[in-house]
Amino acid sequence: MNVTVNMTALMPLIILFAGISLTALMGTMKDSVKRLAGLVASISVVFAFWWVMERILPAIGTAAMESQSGMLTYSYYSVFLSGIVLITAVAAFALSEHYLLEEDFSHPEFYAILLASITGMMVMLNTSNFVNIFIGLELLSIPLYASVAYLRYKPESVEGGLKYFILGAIASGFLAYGIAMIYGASGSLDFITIVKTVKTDSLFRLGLLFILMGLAFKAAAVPFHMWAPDAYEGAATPVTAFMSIAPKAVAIGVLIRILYSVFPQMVDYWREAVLVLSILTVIVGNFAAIVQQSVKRMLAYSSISHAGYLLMGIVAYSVEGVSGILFYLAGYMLINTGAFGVLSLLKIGDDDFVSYDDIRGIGYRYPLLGIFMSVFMFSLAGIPATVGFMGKFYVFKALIHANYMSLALVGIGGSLVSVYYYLRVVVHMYMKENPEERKFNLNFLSMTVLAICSVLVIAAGLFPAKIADIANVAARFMN
Amino acid sequence: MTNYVWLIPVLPLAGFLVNGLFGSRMSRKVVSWIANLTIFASFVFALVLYIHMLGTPALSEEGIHNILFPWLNVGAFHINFAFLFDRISGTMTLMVAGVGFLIHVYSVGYMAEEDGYFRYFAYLNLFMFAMLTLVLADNLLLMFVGWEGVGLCSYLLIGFYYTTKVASDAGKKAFLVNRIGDFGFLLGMFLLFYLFGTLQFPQMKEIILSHHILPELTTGLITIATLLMFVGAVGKSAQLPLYVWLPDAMAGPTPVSALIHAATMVTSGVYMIVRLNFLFQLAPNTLLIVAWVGGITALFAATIGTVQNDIKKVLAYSTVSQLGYMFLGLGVGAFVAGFFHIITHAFFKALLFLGSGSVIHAMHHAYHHAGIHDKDPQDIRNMGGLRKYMPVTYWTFLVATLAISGFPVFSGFFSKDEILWKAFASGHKTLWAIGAFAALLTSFYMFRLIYVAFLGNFRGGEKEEEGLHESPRSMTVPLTILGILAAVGGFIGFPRIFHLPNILEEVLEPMIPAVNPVHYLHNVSTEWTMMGISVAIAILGWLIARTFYAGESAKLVEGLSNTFSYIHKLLLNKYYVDEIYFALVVHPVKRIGEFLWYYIDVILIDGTVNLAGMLATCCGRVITLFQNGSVKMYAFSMLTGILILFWIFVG
Repeated sequence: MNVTVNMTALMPLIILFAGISLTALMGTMKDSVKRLAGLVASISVVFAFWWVMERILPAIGTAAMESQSGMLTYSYYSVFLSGIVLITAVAAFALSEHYLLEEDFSHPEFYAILLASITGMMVMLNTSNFVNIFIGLELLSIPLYASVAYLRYKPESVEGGLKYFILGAIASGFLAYGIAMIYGASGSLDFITIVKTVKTDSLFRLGLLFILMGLAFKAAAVPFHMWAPDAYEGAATPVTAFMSIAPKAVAIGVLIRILYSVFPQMVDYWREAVLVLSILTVIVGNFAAIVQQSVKRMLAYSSISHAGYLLMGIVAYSVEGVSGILFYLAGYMLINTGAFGVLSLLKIGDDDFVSYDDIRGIGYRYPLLGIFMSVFMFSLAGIPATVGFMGKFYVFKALIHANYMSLALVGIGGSLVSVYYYLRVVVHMYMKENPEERKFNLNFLSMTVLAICSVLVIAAGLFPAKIADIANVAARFMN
Repeated sequence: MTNYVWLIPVLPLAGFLVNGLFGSRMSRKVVSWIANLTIFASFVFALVLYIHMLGTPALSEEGIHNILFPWLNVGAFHINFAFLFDRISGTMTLMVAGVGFLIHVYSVGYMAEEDGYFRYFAYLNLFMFAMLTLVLADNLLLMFVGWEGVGLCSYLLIGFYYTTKVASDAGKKAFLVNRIGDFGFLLGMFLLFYLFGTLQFPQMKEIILSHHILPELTTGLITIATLLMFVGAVGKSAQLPLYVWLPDAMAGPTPVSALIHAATMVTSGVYMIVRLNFLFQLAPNTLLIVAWVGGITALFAATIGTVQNDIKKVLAYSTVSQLGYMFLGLGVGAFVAGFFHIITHAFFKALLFLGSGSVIHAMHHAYHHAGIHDKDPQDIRNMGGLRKYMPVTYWTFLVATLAISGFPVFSGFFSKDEILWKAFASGHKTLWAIGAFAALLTSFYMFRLIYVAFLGNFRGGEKEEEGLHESPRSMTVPLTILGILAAVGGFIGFPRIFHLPNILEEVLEPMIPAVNPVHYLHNVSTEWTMMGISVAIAILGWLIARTFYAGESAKLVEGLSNTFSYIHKLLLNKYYVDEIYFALVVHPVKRIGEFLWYYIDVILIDGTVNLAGMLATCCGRVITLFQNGSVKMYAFSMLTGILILFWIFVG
């Protein structure tokens, strides 16, 4: 067989791999070099982003750009999601700089670990072969376990990482099992070959069930969500920001791709399953968030509930639904980066001050920080004139067009409940006095990230048409 | 160049941002340069664009359509963020930016010693941005953004001296009263969208011209929609019964009164109707109501104006009255005449306000000089003989008075006479009589100001008299320029019987076609007669004012006001409208509010909400019971999940 290597398609992975090698190598060097690790990591991500947008995007037409017999496949859809992942990565790196310095535990390996996870996401998104789905998932997950447990001297960090690892291993096992069953039933691992052979017999059904479960775990859908609050709370806050967005976007994105374009004949089965999961996720995520005492843990549950809204969008099974989900993810990226970014600044030494009690009066002592956090909270709650509102609007609109009125009502009810705990943050920031005066260091780089996020949250909320158009194109060209 | 229409509103916005964000750290000189240059640049660019537009046949037909980006796409609802620079909006833009610039220059001198200098100029620039957005919007929604924006700036600037209760109350009043009008605007907009499926002016016009909507089906709805839009105009342009906010708005700095509450913002209701003339022409019943509301307001406000002693209050009622004339003009189908009066009124009324500002400024200084703090610098009874000390202010004020009173050759003569003639010629003889009588009162109260404030002898002490002096150059130069405009501005619209070119009508004609042409009387000799009557009325008003107020005839006035003390009191208290509103609206609303607050809000709603909150918290606690930290429990949860999926897929 004559194998030609398409370097253009491989290049983003190579760039990221170079980034991993460089940052890992920097760990052995002297301190002045080590300090540049974040910069090197960011540059490699930005370079990969540039390559995807400038070299790969123009080569994509209505049909995806395939290479290596489908092992690497770039479509408008996968490029959109890749963009979200890479942008989140840069933002998380920028937030980490300050956080890790304050923690006094900054090592280049941290960036190497996260870069490896990002590489895994790129592999998983840009493929049409189940082998790469699995490899990508593992490459995504294992470094992520490590990055949760990165603050190894903190019990809750190690505990969160370990729980995530144990449960994640179970989920990966199920996913591999599911892929094996699909292979057994169809004789292929390639999406395009499988879709031609899919029937609804029990082997296919079992296989899809396990694949669905494996991805639902990564998206933190109820009842596969139990790891999330512990892992989110234990991890360094910038890592939490990263893993509340990127893995979720990848899991939801790949799930849509698999369900819509590989198993369209089994729509009756998976539609019902996703419907049940989405309802559970919205209800459990929102109600559990109400009773939390820590803002960080509340945001963990909140991100569970957002996974629920995204799953609802999948039920719509329409281009409109997918484009709504993509818009939602883009907005969610801005909001969550910002919300966790604010929390990452509330830190003195290795103590985080992220409970509701700790943030009392923050809005007065740090006006800018207070405004940013309010913008993000309003947006998460889905208040109009923010991107969070438009995202929910598009998703629910798609549901109503697909005749899932009552599901949309559950979603709206859920976001109604969520207003309580999001606005509670604002209330605590502005209406309660704090007897303990704490001096936080508002790092310029982190504040810049927050400023950009909050401006974009408002801008995209007022003028959503541009992003919505792009999301619409991405949704229409999945393969 | 045609793709840069957005620069016209955005330049002042940039000025607002720079001054608003960094103004506190910059010197007053830099602040005023930024504010003035941005609006001047807008004006120059608008002028260049205007000439270019009229010179290019393709553009002069349709106007320059500058689509920036798609704004909202929701279902069948598509709105672009787009500006339309055509004959109507272009003319209005020139007026707004030009007068706005002059008032900016004037403000440099007037505000020189005030606190919050940068805040003032930042708001002023923000206002120009909002006003130009309103004028240049190519659809009703964007117009509404500007509409609300000017309302906000008006509120901010009325309450500029927010430490005084009067100013902040007046700001609130303006805001609240305008809400009623805005509600009408919104409902009208919804109804128009229902009827046309679009909110863009050119498309709406296109649909009407191509008869896509059958007239017999929609006449009723179009009447309702136009009436609702008119409610919006009544609020913004201070007509009966929603005019009450405008006299109170005089609590703001005087240049603000000149810019917002005389020349630009308050005319936006009139402008909106001119913009939508193709719609209003389909609704003759609405037009009749517009004409009557305008006519009655013109008379009503003029009567109040005759007895007020606060120089700015007189001008405020005069503004309400003149706005009434504009609506009267629109109502009898004379859209061009109404628009003409917007422009001439902007010149002479801005001039009057700026002149009064100059007077107040001088009186303020005089009292400061004499160490007096309890006298009102705005009360004309404290003035007198100011002509000697402030010649420029006096002469320009006189020019404006001649213009507003309708003396021949001055600008107001042409526009007001055009409106009155059109009212008469279209058969509305009663309306003509109302307008003519209001014109008499106008001439009277304006000359009353001249005689009491500027002529005769100064009624203050010698120490005060020493402190009187003419205002600085940055104030007198705008006065002079506006004085020239108020004198000759009417030449853009000669009546047909003069056989001179009517420039304004030529410019606006293509944009304001008569769909249902009103049948005007065409009789040259009648027109001459009517014009003669108008002139006679103006002179009569002057003569009456002269009899009462010139020289030592103060006793006559006193005797007169004693004889008719009831009427005098009624007028002085502005027909007790504020008191009536308080008793009929404010008080009952308060009572209802108290009732709703206690029974509905505290007991019913709060009770329900607290109950729901408790239930939700309970649910949350139950759910988090499972989150007990044990990995076994977590794995068990996953197992449950798989069983659920299994049941769905296989079961």
